[in-house]
Amino acid sequence: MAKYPPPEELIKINYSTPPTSWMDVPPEFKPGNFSYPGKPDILKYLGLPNPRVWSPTDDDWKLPENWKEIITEGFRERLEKYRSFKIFMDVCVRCGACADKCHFFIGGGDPKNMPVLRAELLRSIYRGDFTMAGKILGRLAGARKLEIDVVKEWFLYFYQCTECRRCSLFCPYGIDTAEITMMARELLTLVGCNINWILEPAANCNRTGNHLGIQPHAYKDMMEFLAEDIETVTGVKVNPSVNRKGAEILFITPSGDIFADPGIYTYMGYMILFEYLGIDYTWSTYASEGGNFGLFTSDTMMKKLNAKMYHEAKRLGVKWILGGECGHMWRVINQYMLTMNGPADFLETPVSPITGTKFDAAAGTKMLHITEFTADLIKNNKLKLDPYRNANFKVTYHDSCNTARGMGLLEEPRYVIKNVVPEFYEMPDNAIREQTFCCGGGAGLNNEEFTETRLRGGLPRGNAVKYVRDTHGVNTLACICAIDRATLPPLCNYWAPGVGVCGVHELVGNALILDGEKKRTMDLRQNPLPGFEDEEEE
Amino acid sequence: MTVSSSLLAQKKDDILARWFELTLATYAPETAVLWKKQKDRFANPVAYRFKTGMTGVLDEMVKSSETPTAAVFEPHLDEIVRVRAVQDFTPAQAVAFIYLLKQACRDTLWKDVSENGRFTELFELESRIDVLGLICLDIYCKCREKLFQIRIDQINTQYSRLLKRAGLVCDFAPEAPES
Repeated sequence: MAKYPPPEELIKINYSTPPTSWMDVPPEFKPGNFSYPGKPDILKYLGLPNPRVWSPTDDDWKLPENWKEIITEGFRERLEKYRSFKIFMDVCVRCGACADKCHFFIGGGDPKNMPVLRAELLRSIYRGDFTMAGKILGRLAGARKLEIDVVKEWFLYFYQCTECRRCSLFCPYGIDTAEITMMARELLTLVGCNINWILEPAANCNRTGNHLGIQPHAYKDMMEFLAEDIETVTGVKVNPSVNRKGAEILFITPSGDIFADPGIYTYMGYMILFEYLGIDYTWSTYASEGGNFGLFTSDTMMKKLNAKMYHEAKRLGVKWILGGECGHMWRVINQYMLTMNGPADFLETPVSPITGTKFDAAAGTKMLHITEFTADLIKNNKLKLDPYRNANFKVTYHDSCNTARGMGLLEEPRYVIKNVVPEFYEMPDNAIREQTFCCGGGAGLNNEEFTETRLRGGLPRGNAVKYVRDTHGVNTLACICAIDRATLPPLCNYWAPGVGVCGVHELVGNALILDGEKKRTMDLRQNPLPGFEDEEEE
Repeated sequence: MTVSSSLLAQKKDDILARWFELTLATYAPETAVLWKKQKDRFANPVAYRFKTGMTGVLDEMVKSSETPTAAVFEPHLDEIVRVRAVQDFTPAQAVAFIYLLKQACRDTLWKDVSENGRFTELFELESRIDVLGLICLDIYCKCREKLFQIRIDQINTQYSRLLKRAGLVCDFAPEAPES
């Protein structure tokens, strides 16, 4: 019998990645894996260095001539300023506990998205420039030289980190990878490498108080527009007050919710709740943004943008501040606000005007989260609710990374949801609460050009949503973050079609029975309530 | 059960294991190690989806020797292609995993095929895998089209309401409900 060649000779294809060391793989920029750079006008307005037109796909990034010194000096300055940064650079033993915890790694498989390796991109330079062993042993000690490709690599991978801090949860040393990313982004900003999706909202915020650059009259117009929609649905005219001095409470929420679908329905939910309660509160067209893209730029920018909250509270003379459904807004408030802009000794510890509950957990910042406020109302039987109005929704809950890991807000949103919907199902344990998976759009990565990579990073979240969709028929993903409300709909569309996204207070707005309301036949999106489907068609 | 199905059936589990391993080898070695190790379906959705999809494909291949159809195979192949369509691959690399099934079959069945002259069966099996390749191409394109549609939708939801509010675009919705 003739001898046949072995199969490996018949099909000679090698699909595997060449096993070169990660240090030798140059960064590759392709449409979909990076965000567009900051526009020169915006950089100039913000007073940031090296404004110019450039693209990550160009060979020449037009860095300043002395870019190496700038970065090395900036590195040294930050190591001296932040003890935590120095410890994070030194203490990692590369145990690998974080390696498979990042959503971008889990979905995409790029080793440089392992948090340990992403941090190593920075750490290798630290070793080379700031440690004796690195200076002498070089590569043997895990050190490398600062070359232009290193800067490119930083730009690629530190803008592929959403600062969600899931990896930090698993680190035995508690290394906060988000803070490593923040440092890397600050260093990049020193030589003019940053992204427009972060800088333009920051510039807008600096000027008008919100990311979108909405001016006061336009903001008020939009509120009135939403009030009209509320009247159409409920028959009740709500009268929100704006910029009113002497109100008891200032309410601050992300501006994304006043115009973007589906955030507007959450916004309407707030308006309905406040009308129902008849509390003495005001919105502000200046503190018209909860979000703070300074967090993703630099500590000085974050501090500046955050300052308007207390500033406006002082100007209006309120007693305390209530905050809406936002993610990173609460990280800034909970972790940095007091240090940066406190103490707010002109404010009082939040006390619910309806139940009298004093919220001691908010005694430091004097800012209370809306789900804590609403959960307390429900607990004290202060809300008349008809959960059946939400019977078309089988709901699960996505913990926003920032509220879950950044402030430990886990129970209140769930308590509220369970009281306003008839059917609620949790996703699996390792996909919720502290272990929640990011939507892929945090830290300023919720832009359109980054969609492909965001969907890649959205796989772990989408996979868990698909599971509850398939096992329980879940069709609604509730969340308490404006960026989630923007990024989760496309994520679900790709990984778990048929699942919609809503804010928690949209569900509250649907269920809340207002005094003098008309017979409700539709929800806030003007879709028919259960049992009224036929009337819609007439 | 027809001829090539019986060929496949006798070593289905070995082929599955080999196919999975070859497919993971299309990722960086550091990644492949972790993805082989982690068995939890929520901690490691890629490996879970690949195993589920591959098992489904092989089960259907054993069940019938008919020319594969999208109606039967698309749900299984989608588990894999949908993931690879948004990973860092060229289109060819993304769908190449299906040809690794050929390699897995040859690796696993070669002894039996060459010793017993079962080439016709192997050819038939490989022809069916070629058809799976075409189905993969369709799924890949659908996924990419969806990605682009998602990008367009995002722009629309970002700006349409603002333009309407600003009165910059006309609105054909009736002012009041028609009586």
